[in-house]
Amino acid sequence: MFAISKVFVCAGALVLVSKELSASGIDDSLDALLYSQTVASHKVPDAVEHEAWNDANKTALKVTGALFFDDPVISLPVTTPDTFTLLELTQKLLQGWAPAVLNQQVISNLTSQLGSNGAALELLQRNILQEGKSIRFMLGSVSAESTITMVVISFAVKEPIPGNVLERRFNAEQIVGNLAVDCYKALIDADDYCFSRARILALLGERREKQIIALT
Amino acid sequence: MTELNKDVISAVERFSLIAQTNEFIAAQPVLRSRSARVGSSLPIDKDELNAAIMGSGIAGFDASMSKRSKRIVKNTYMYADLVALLKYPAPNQKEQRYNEFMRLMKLAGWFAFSQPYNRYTATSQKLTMDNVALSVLHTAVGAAVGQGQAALKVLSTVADATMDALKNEPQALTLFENNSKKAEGGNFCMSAASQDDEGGITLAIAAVQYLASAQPTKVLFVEWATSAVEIYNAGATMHMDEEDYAMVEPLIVKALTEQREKALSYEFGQSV
Repeated sequence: MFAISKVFVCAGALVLVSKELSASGIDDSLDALLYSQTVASHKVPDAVEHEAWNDANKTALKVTGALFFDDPVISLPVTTPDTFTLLELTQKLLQGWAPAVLNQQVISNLTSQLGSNGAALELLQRNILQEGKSIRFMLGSVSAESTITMVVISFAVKEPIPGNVLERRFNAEQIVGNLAVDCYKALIDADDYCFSRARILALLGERREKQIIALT
Repeated sequence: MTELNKDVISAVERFSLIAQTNEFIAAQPVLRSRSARVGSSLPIDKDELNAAIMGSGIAGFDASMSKRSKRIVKNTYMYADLVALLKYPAPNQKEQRYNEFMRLMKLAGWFAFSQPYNRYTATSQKLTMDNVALSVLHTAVGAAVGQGQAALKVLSTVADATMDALKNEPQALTLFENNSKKAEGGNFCMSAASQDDEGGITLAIAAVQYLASAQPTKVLFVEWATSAVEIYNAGATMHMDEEDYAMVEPLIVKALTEQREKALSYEFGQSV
């Protein structure tokens, strides 16, 4: 089982971090994830361009030096359940690919930790919910070796969503068009990331403090 | 024919030539294709393999190697590969690219015995690319003179073990093969490195380019009909004492860092 020590909200991503990952490894991984999301959202501002955003996100992560091992998006059969929450759907998607990352206990803990951290919930909500009717949710982990395992779910709904989007139960008939799923595994190698670190810190500036929040 | 380092140049000249090369790199615009390529061409260590996938290259390391020595191999390889690709990007410039790669490796501090770029002559109707690469590497090791025979033997063993281990690492193999394949063929590099008791590093490299009208799904560990593929190869054995690298290291690290920073800023939407 993946031993989690910390959970972070990193812009629109919930990130579970291994307890064996060093402090610098945590910083590097979260910075790289924030950099890639920031670039993707700048390049693809239209919330319904799911695939373009996912491509931009992965390209930006590659530019940080991250090395992609696995891109199983085409092998993941996605049948939209009749009814689901974002965490339930993520768990379902991870089951066949990276089952160690998420289980029912972890989901319960995440929900409770988010419930008691208003700033983190607000940050996540703001990034997940685009223009009131578009959803982009990322959930992933960072292993002791700095391998990021990430799932990105994107879809649009007919009516604006009020309240906490993570607690929201969606129905398949509410979804407009397709539900897009993107998954990847990428390694942030410290020896290589040293070429990127200073510039990423400079480019992200205050965003790091505002958009990376520890839950535990 | 094995070719010795014809032009053993002074440390000052090496420094100056690398500085000039860095000016060339700095003057190159950031192209979208290159900014995307940066990530996929950089090295990783896979502990299970004790090797690094470096774009279309795989480097096997003997257990004797320190982290520092591995870093030297990776940095010099990345630097030489980057410059060679920037200077000779066209598909038909493989030979110039290899020669430029070797020139840069020498400037970075490697003393090399190299074999020229040649067409590979197969001796049977079927071949596998992994065996081609290993035979090129073994030949390069066998042709090297003036280096410890024990160290050279280690290189052959490391290469064999790395290729064997790669077979059982599907993620690393996929990564390597994705980087090695092009539309009508591809190219890859196999290398093995070891370190002696005094810290000297010995490195053997086999570069393989293949041209094939029908591209199979896999490159390594599958049989190719000799008549359906045209192969060119080159090999080299090199040695380096750390002090030969230390002097140019700041320039090489600076160039690699600036190249990365340019791509990061470009992606971020900032002018560079």
